[in-house]
Amino acid sequence: MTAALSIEHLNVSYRTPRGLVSILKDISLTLYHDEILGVVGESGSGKSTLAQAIMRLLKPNTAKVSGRVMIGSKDLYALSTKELRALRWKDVAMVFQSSMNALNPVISIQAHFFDTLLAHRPHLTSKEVEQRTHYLLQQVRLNPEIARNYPHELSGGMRQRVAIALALALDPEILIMDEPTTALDVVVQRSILNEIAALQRERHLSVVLISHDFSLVSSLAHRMAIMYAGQLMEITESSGDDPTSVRHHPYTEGLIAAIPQLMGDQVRIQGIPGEPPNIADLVTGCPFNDRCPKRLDLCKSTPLPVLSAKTFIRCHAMGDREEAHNDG
Amino acid sequence: MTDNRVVRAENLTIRFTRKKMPDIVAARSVTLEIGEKETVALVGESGSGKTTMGRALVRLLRPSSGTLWFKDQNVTTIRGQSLRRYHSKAQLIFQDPFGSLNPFHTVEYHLRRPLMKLRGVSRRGAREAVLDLLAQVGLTPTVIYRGKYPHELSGGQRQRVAIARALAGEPAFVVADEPVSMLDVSLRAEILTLLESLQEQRHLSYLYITHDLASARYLAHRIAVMYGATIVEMAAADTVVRTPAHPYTRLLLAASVGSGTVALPETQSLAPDLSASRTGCPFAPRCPQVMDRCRVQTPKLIDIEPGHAAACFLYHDGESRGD
Ligand SMILES: Nc1ncnc2c1ncn2[C@@H]1O[C@H](COP(=O)(O)OP(=O)(O)OP(=O)(O)O)[C@@H](O)[C@H]1O
Ligand SMILES: Nc1ncnc2c1ncn2[C@@H]1O[C@H](COP(=O)(O)OP(=O)(O)O)[C@@H](O)[C@H]1O
Ligand code: SF4
Ligand code: SF4
Ligand SMILES: [Mg+2]
Ligand SMILES: [Mg+2]
Repeated sequence: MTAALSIEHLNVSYRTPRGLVSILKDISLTLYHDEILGVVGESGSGKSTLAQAIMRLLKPNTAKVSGRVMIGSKDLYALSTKELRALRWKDVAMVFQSSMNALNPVISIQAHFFDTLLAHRPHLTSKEVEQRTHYLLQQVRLNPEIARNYPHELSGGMRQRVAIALALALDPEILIMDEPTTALDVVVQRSILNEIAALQRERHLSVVLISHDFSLVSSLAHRMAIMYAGQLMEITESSGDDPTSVRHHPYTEGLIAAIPQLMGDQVRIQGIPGEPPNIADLVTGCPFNDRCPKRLDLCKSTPLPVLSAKTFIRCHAMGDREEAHNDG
Repeated sequence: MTDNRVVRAENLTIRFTRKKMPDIVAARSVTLEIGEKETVALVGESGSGKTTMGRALVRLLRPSSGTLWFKDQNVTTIRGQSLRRYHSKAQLIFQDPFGSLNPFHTVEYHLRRPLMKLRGVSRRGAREAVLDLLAQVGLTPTVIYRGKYPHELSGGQRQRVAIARALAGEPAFVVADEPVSMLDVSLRAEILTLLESLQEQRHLSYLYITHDLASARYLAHRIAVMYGATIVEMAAADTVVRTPAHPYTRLLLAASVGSGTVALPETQSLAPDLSASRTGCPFAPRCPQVMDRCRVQTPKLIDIEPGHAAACFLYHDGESRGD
């Protein structure tokens, strides 16, 4: 397995009137070729900040970023703005929850493809752009005829598919998706996710799929990274429909116990007592300590070890974490 | 179910008139009943009419036709004092606890009002009653939460306040319209289990509206599946999940996480026609099993086995005469 993208010691703080607020704390994470890496966390845990930091979309006057984001031998944070612009869309493309509302209301769907394709491949003829549009719309299971429509004439689910087709326009190898289907109906959501999974398999894409929905991500991703209060708590192989078959971080275990199952025996669900911490609060120890049923005396004050491996669990109570530390 | 029913809707139709546009029928001749201490989940896609039905059952909307019973009282068209009395017995919890709480008022204010207005508690008595309600929804220490403003509370705590407010009038029936869909996973379970235990203690009947079949199965005794302003299937929760009959239910189930299904059984994704002039089965344009008659006749919701009803010509010939 080779790395498609690697994040190394990423720290992000937002500049606020009350000074710098630290959000992402020392995140190291590798996306391998030909995999879907899920990133799961509750609201405010820093997922969208991570997505924007990966794409270097955070403006220096709103946020302070340190660390590296490597694509091949290139560090995104060392590129000039021109080099960066060339790389976005072509090598790395993104789809956000709001993408469907970010389409330009006064131009047709076809015109969006003209803009995107010609910006990077100015030599293409109109005919070639139209053919490529046709092909891309079919890939996301849209009737190519909708190219003539304007965004407001399409449903939210259709517009989100257009956004995905646009992201694929330049054949990127890496796709970063932040809640790509969150606002959509269950059936539409599933059909778009099926499309994403099929495209990933066909084109061997490397996908970061960010969502608050644990069960949804675990049904799709190959590995999952669990975030809590701006930190990575665990990276686990995804175990599909039976997440209890693997050992997990106490927070992940809490999440799993909180989700009602669709099939199988009816198991009583149980919430995690307490509330997620304010991400801006400084914690020295484990950020989960005040809600954790397995807490030890040292948890409140001893920082969690920083691990970077294919899978790991960051927890003082899980003694054999070294075992999971092996790079695979 | 009939001897202890709390709410019964009979052929309830809700029609919206719109400016310069054709009328919309958001609930079409819906029949549904909820027994004492029973939870019925209403699931279905966005725009299928779930919220409309919920609002009609607590009489925040007046049905265009049909009859609504609360125990043995006909509440279809009541107004004034009788409607106010019904509102203390039938309450609604919204999806967005922030939108439904007034940012300028404390928790105590939100709870005191229904206590005094709906239950006639004195201002003095309300103080105690507020603390009592807060304790019941797990907002302890109660004296601290009493004085807080909505923005000082987390999403989960705000939803607890909304639940406490719904309980203030001592209702027998509560419509919970997607009460957890805006909450984080770890807090959802807390609210769902709170609803469960309140039902036990207070003998409540619930209509639980959701998009999520897994939580519907968890909380509800029976599930009603809505599509295009009609109920297309209704049965015990486990039956709906394990042996769904209606093609829309099968599609919804296939799309739900944990069903293990990959391919979606639909011919195209299309929103159903809600116009008053619609004929035929609302699901016909998407149904892989559609037959000729489905496009002209509307199937009726009838039992295909005891306690399991479906509105689909694959199972019976029963035809509905519309509203
Ligand atoms: N006051 C109104 N005036 C006109 N049309 C309305 C009104 N309220 C609802 N509708 C329409 O009635 C239909 C059903 O809406 P409803 O809110 O009941 O759906 P829902 O099943 O609750 O959807 P969701 O899952 O998105 O909450 C929709 O087409 C909606 O636009
Ligand atoms: N531009 C900003 N300025 C200051 N704080 C921000 C900004 N954007 C996000 N935050 C804060 O950063 C934290 C993480 O936010 P976000 O990355 O959006 O989380 P998620 O996507 O996991 O919900 C939150 O506390 C949020 O309020
Ligand atoms: S480090 Fe301690 S508090 Fe944190 S999850 Fe592990 S046991 Fe719980
Ligand atoms: S009545 Fe016909 S169109 Fe409707 S769900 Fe049944 S088979 Fe499909
Ligand atoms: Mg986000
Ligand atoms: Mg609704």
